[in-house]
Amino acid sequence: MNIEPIVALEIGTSRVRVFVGEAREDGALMITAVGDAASSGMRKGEIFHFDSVCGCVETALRQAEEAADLKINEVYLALSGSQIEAQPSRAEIPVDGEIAQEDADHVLSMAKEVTLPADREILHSIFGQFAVDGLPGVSPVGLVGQRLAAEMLIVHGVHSRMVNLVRVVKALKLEMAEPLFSGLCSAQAALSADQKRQGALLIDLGGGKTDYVVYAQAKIADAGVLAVGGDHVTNDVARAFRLSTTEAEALKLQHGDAMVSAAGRTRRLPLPAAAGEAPRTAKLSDLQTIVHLRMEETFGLIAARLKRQKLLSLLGAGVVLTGGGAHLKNVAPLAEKVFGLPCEIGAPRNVSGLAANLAVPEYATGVGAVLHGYRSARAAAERSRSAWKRLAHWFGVN
Amino acid sequence: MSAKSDDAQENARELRCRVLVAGVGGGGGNVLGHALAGWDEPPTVAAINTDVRALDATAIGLKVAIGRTVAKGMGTGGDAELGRLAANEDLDALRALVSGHDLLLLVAGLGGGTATGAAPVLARIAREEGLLVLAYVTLPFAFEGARRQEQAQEGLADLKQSADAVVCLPNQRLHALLPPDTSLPDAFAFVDRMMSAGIRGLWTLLARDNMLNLDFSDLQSLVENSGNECCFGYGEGQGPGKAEQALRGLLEGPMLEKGRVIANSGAMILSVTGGPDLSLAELETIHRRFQEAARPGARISMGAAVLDGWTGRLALTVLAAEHWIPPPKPGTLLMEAGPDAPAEEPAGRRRKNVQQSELQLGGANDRGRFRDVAPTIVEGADLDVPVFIRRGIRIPS
Repeated sequence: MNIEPIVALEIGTSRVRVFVGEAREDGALMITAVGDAASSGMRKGEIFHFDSVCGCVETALRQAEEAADLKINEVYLALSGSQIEAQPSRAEIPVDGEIAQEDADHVLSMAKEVTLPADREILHSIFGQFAVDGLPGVSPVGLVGQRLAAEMLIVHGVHSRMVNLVRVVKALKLEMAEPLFSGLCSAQAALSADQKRQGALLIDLGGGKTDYVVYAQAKIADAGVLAVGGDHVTNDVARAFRLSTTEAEALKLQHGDAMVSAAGRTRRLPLPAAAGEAPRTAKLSDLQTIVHLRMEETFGLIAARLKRQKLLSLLGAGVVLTGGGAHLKNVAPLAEKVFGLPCEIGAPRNVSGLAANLAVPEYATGVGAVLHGYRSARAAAERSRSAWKRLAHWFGVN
Repeated sequence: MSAKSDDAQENARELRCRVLVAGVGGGGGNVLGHALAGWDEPPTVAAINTDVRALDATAIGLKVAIGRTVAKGMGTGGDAELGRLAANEDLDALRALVSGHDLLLLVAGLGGGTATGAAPVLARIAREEGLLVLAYVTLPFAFEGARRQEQAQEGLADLKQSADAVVCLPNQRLHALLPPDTSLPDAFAFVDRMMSAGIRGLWTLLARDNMLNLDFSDLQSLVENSGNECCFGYGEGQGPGKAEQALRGLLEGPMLEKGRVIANSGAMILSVTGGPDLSLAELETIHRRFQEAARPGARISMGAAVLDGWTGRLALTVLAAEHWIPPPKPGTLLMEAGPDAPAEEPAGRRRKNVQQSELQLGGANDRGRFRDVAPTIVEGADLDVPVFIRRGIRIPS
């Protein structure tokens, strides 16, 4: 099977990244190049200044093209922000005797039909499961029954905001393979098949936003975005200590901590002071408090949503954190406390041949997008697969 | 630049606020062509287009052809991308056009290639040059097709980011004002007339010495804190009871959704245009009626202009901000409307550097680096405000 190199573009609030993946001879995927540039013109996962964003994307593309020795023509775009959220959808049809492929296709297309507010657009329709006469999780074709139901999860976002991200791709004269919700990409890269089966919550802590994806009862049960990210931590620190964004970012990276420690109460940190100003210091515990409050609130909002949907008790494999924010000191212990579940730091795992320095939480989204692109290219190559099997494969458990 | 427009520019400069009115694309040009017809002392008006033939045909004196390389003077064929490239090709000409003005009233019929692509670029350039940018746009009628609608929506989103505020004329609401058997050219002409009336109402109040002047700072405050979106309404009355008639048209008509928009708005600007017979009682009535219709504490700024030849006639224009976020220091920007209200010259004509002025306010704005993007409100809390501030925790402890 000959599959062209797969390129994923992730336009984040703090970084713009490009990943190139190629199939090895044994069919496994290998990341052959990474472009990684600072981002500007983005706020909270969305475009704030179009031209600045285009410039940053161009830089990252060049880096990747040079490293891969390849001209990039087409990208999978991992996007976030845009008030992306998910809603379950279910459809049921009567069947007469043996269930045919056409019946399955029909009920699926019905489940995909949802009414959304006018400003919203569907980003993904993710297959959940079939049920025959109330028995869920079956493979229906060939079974005999009276009622066939399909469940899907519809992921949607604000059209105009997603379109702005897509327009960057267009402005750079690239073809758009597919827009993808970045949270689903991260989950694809960082969660093992076992974790998906047991139920897991993936949280991607980005610079401008926080994505979450819930696997429960062997399917994707919820997904969404909170427009709060590492920039908010930095902003909180800047406001508290009257620092510039750059100074606050440096302080956060060096001493930021999601838990307040006893030692922090006596330790003082030097703060940058303007020329001629008296030297200033801050209590480490104050910095810890600011960071702790912000992260606790972010996790708390996600926990409250999951609790309302009765999903929190279905997460046998606990919480997995990805994104640059996963590097924050004590972020996993804090998440364990808030969710009452075990928590680990995740990194791309489903790609063989990945160099060790690529196995970091902030690469989960980009690698996941390549992985998705690779799987759908492979699925397209294997035309024998039926439509719903492919759907189940993409983002599904397997 | 023609001699006529030079003069117009000179005129505008002597007046209190230097207004540039620019129509981008064919639709914008049509609106302004319509507006100019009834305008005795017009502001600087410019037409910007990729289509050289359309530019030649317009009555507007100041013409700027853009994208002569990418569009070859023949328009964009409805392609917004081409419109954007065209504007980017002539950034210097656009910069030269806007510089020296305080306010840009940008007019565009979104959906078309030039308007949709070039208007956001013009808005961005104007803001970089320190102008306050208010964009008046129309969206296509449904029958103009899905592609045009979609393109218009993209352009609208774009323009909201690059202009200070967008006044979007909802065609559905205008539809309700027209008799069902209205012909297509009449419907278009009606939209043009509404638009030009709105622009004219605002410009008259800002650029002339009037009976009751509107401060540029009032408009600036409204526009900059509008959450990038303003609503516009227009009503007219004639003969005795003309104020009542105009009020009824506005507050009960479809343009402001039977007054719902006014009830929701945190701030609004009323401009009244009348003849020498315009009375203080009429102004008081108008002001009172809006105060009653608006939500408590809403800021209502009002201006009134008297024009010759308007005897027995009254026009009322409203610019309302439904997503108004009060500026950090309340009080100073509120202008009480009344016969004794002083018509002061604004202290600084040039638009202040917003970023700097907000930094100087220190703790007043807790949103920090998120001050210029839409807030994230979850369960009533603005998540952009630091958590420790919302919870009242003292740092440094």
